[in-house]
Amino acid sequence: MSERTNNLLELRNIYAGYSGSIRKMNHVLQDLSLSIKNNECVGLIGESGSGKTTLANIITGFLQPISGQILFQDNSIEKLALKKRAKQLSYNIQMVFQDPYSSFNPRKTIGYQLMEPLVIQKRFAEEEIEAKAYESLEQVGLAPDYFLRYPHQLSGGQLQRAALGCSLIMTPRLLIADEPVSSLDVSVQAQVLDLIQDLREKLEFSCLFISHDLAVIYHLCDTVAVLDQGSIVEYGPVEKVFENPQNDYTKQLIFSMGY
Amino acid sequence: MNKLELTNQANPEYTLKVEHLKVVSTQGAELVRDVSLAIKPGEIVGLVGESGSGKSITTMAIVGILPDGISIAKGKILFQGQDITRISADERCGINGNKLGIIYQDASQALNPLMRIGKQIDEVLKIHTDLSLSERQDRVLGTMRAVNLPDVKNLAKRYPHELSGGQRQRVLIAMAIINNPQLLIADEPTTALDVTVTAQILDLIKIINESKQISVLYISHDFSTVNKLCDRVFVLYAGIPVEIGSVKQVIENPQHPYTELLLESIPTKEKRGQKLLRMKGRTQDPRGPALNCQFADRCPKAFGRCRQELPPMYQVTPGHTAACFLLNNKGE
Repeated sequence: MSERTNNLLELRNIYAGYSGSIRKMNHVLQDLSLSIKNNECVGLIGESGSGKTTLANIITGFLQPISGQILFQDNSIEKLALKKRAKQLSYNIQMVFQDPYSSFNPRKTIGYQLMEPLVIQKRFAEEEIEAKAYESLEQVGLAPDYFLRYPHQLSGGQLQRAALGCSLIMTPRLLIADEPVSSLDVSVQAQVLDLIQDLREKLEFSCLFISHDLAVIYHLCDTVAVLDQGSIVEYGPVEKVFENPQNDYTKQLIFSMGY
Repeated sequence: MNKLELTNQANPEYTLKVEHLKVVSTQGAELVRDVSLAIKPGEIVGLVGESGSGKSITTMAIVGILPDGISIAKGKILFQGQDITRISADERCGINGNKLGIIYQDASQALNPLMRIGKQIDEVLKIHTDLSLSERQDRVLGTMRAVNLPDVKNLAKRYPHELSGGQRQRVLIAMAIINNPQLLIADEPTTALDVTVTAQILDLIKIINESKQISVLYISHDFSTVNKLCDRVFVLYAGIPVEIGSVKQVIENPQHPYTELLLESIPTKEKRGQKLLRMKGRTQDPRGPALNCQFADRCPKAFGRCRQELPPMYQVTPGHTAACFLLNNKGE
C-alpha cells in the first residue's frame, strides 16, 4: 500500500481506554502517535496513571484501541481480531514485566517455561526447542543447571534474566520492557541493564523501555517519549530532551532527578 | 512513662546509639554481624545496603519487631541513653509511636484498609496522650496540614484505598510525627513512588527534620536519595558497616571497593551506554561468623590478607572510615 519506511512500529492517533460503564469510557490514551524505528531503543517516561502500561497493552494486543492506526512493518494491524493478532505478532513483539516473581509459574521449571512459547508455536522439533532453551539460558548469563530449577530458587535478578530469556527465545523484532529493573537492587539493576545492552547489540531488536527512572532511560535509550495524561508531550533524541526540555512537565521531571 | 522522662537527659549527645549489634537466627545465621552507629540530635543518617545486607533487620531490632526465631545475640541499642534491647512490651509501647516514629516502605500495607484516615492518625494520640477528643481532632488536622495533605477535613473521612500512593505516604509520615518524636525511622519510604512524588516526600522529611530538630534514620538502597537527604551515611555489606562518613566524603571519595563499585553501577550522564557493573557474583546468603573480609570474593582488588582476616575500620580523614586493608597499606 505505502512505501517502506524504517519504522518497525508506528502508532497513529490512538485513542484507548477501559469502559467504566457502557456509556462512559475512560480515555486513558488520547490522540497518541509514536513510532519506533528498526534497532531503536525508545524510552517511555511518565508518572503512574499517565497511560504507560495501557500503551504497552495496545502494542502487544492485550487491548484493542477505540480508534487510531497501528502499523507494524508498515502493515496496518489494528483491524485484526485480537486473537489472530496475538498469534501473528508473538514472533515479533515480546514483553518483559516489572515483577519477575509474578511473571513465572511457581510450579514449573525455568526450562519448561523457556520452552513453552516455542512448544505452542509448533515451529520446531522437540530437540531443537530444548537446544534453543539452553542457548537462551546462556545468552542471558545463566548456567545450564538453572534449566531444571524452579522460580523460587532464583534471586530477583536471575529471575529477571530468565524472563528476558523467555521473551528473546522468540527472536522478536520488538521488546517491550515495562519497568524491568525498578524492583531490583542497584548492583543487580546494573547487571540487567548491561545484559539488555549486550543483547541488543547481539540480536538487534528494537526496544520500548518503560520506566520512571530518568537515569536508566538516559543510560539505555536513543529516543525518549514523555507521556502525560495520555498523550506524548515531548519526543526526541535523549540528549536533546534532557539538555533542553521544552515541556513544563518534562522540565519538572528532569529537575526533580537533578539532571 | 516517668522512667523514660528521667533517663531523657542521661545521654544528650546521641539520640540513638547502637553498639556492636549482632542479630542471629535460630539456625545460627548471622544476619547483622557487628553494627555500631550513632545519631546526634537533629542529624539525618543514611543506612545504605542491598538486599541481604542487614539494613532492615537492624531497623527491626531498633524498633523491637524482630520476627520469631531472630533475636539480638549481642550489643546494645541506646535510645536517649536507655538500653532498649531488653525492655518489656509496656515500655516498648511508651517508645514506639511516641518518641520513635516509623515510616514504612509500603504505605498501602501499613495502613488499615477498613479504618478512616483521620481515625488511624488519631489512634496514635489516643494511645499515647491524655488529650480530649476535640484537642486530638485539632492536632490530627493540624498535622495533616503540616505534611501538605490537601482538603484535610474531607480527607480525614476517607479510606486508604481512596488516596494516591504519595498521599498515603504522607499519612504515614503524619502518624509518625504527630507525637513530636525524637527519632524518625524511614525504611525506604520512596521506593514505590514516582520521581516527582519522591522528591516531594524527601523535601517533607527534610523540613520536618529542620523545623522540629527530629533525628532521622533513613534506610535505602538508593544513593541518589541518600545524597539529597542525609548528613552522614553508613554503607552496610553482609551485616557489617564497610564505610562510614559524611555524604560528601563517601560519595565523592569512596574508599571501600564495595562503595566504589556500588556507586559506579548507578547510571549517570557521563557513563551513558557504557558497562555499569564490574562487581562479580552476588551477595552471599547470611552464614556463620565472619572470619575474613566478606567482600573479598567479589572484590577486584582483593589480596591474600583479605581472605584471612576481618579488616578493622581504618580512618581516611576525620569522620570518614572504611573497613579495607588497602587503607592500611596506604598509611604505612
